[in-house]
Amino acid sequence: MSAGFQAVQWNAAKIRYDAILLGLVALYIGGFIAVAAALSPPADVAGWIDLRLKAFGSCAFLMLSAVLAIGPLARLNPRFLPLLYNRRHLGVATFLVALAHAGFMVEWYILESDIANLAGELTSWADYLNFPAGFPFKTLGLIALLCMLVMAATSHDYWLAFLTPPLWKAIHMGIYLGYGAAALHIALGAMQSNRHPLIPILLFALFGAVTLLHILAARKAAAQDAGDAAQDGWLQVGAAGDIPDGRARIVAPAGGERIAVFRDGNIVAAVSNLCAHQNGPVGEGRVVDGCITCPWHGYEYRVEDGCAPPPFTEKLATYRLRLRDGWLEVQTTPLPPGTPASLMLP
Amino acid sequence: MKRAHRAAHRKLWPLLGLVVGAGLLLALILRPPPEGAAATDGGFTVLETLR
Repeated sequence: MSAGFQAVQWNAAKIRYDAILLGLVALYIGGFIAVAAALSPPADVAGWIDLRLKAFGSCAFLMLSAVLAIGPLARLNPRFLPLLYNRRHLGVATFLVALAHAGFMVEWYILESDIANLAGELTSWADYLNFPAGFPFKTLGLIALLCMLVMAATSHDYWLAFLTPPLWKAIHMGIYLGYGAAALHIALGAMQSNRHPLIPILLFALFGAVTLLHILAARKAAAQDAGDAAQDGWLQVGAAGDIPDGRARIVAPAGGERIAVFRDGNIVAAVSNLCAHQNGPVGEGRVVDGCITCPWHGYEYRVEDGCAPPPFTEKLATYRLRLRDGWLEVQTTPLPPGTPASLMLP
Repeated sequence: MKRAHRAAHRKLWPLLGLVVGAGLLLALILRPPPEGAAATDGGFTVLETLR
């Protein structure tokens, strides 16, 4: 969290994450070029450019698959949450690798003195019916690159705050379209010109795995979203003692947003399950030193009123709680963000 | 994620999987035969037909 603008809020975890990421990217690209060049040495400069194209292109697709797998993995199993912490750095790095891939393609056309034909290739409308081998697959790569550019350009917290988390998230869901375009770009490009069986195997495995993870995570979320019927505006949470100390029970009124009911010792408090930073699931976090801590990026809110501790200014909507016949109930109408509404248990 | 994002996500991925998956499958099934095989069938290569 930040009380003022900072380009990147570097910390040890982010430096370690980025160092590992850069190391893996360098290892993959270096390894790919070394092995491919040893097996079949490029004959000329164009051959070397082609090799770099393949190395960076396959690396970008692998990275994009990883970016898209992290979200559902973290929703299905909290052990993957540390990967989510710095996912935006991985996304920006993916865009840069994809941009380098596109740059090598332009370099190849310049070398072949064929750059004028590149635009012609993309606008030969009749070729779009020439499926699969003659399809201008570069257009699909361009669509994927543009999607990644929008994501990378708006990845900073500044844009997150400016656009508001719901709009920011809606824009960033556009990467799903970019991923589909990237998969088809490979299928209609590399898979048509190169008969190596690893290309379709890896393409189908990666796209299939990412799709399956998203469908499984969506199914889990749907079950949680089913919600319970509220009576007179109050929703039953359960016995207060059943909520583990320092943790929350997440409830949802039918058709409404989720509410996280935390217990911190003998204090219970209900807050919106949407973190003010990126709408992460605060209810899956825990109470640390009297503050609810979001599992995504560690944003903190006081249990008693949902306000971030000074000097920070983020606030969560709170909800009234009551005990009725020993059962904890939460009012489904939110209070203004930052309103004290915790309840002391007897 | 808000409920609306989750609802969109829930509808989007099966559709994306289906459309892109079908595209990948067709691209694999319909891809032209290897250069050698085409050369024996008509006397010119696949690359030549593309040009």
